[in-house]
Amino acid sequence: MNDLMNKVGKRLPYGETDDYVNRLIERCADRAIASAPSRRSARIRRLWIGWSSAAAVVAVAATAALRVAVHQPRDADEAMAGMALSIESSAESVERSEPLNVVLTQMTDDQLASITYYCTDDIPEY
Amino acid sequence: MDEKELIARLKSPDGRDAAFRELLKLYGSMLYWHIRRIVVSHDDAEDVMQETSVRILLGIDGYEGKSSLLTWLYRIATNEALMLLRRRCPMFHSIDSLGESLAEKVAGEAGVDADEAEVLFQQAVAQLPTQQRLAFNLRYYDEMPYEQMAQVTGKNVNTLKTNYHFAVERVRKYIKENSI
Repeated sequence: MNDLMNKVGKRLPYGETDDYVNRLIERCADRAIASAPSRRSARIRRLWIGWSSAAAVVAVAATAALRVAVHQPRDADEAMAGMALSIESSAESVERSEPLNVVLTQMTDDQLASITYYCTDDIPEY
Repeated sequence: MDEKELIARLKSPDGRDAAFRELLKLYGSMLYWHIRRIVVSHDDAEDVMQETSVRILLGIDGYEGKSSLLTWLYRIATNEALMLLRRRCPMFHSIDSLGESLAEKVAGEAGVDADEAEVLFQQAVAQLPTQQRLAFNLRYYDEMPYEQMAQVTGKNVNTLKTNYHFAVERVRKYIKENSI
């Protein structure tokens, strides 16, 4: 390898001349100067979006925490009373509608057929 | 030109563009060939050189002078070149796996009048694992002191010396196996 190193030295096998490389460097400098302001503003824009998003997340989390704190039952009795109230209200909403068997017996044969029949074209493809 | 004066002009808004052109005129060729020795392809080297130029211009305000300006430039160029190789690399593969394809590329990139010995030597270097190739290029072609190489690569001096030693061994072996 020493013979090869002595023979080759630091020469590379590529054909680009010094002039070609110098012109390439000048083009790189021109383009960098031209693009630098837009890259700077893009960076500032990204930072602004990042901080805004973080602030929004913090605001939502704080609101949710505040709601929980406001509606926190003071003791177990209050918590149980709250649960009973919510169960009663959902039970009422069920009782207001007719039982399903009553609904079905009131439907005609054509109406029943329309809800059981389906066309394969109606099935969406995923 | 005094390096401190150049840095001062690069950091001032008024003289920045002119100073930047002077900077690339001084060091651009060195950076280009350093990049070229890593990525092999001229087109890739041009892309990396362009990206490096932008990073230098955008990052000059952050240059604190802890290393020399040239070391800082080399560090940016090296990182950009390695990033390009990572993008070329298949997922979950190390960039060291590109060695064979880079060695093949050398022959394709070689000039019409290229010496066979030059091609073989460069192929031997291109097939080295990345860290060994970096150490070899910086030491052999750029004649950089190990302490400066450590600042460019982020590796310690002993690691670099070891990498250079093994690189020389592997290049020697490759040439012996592939010589006509």
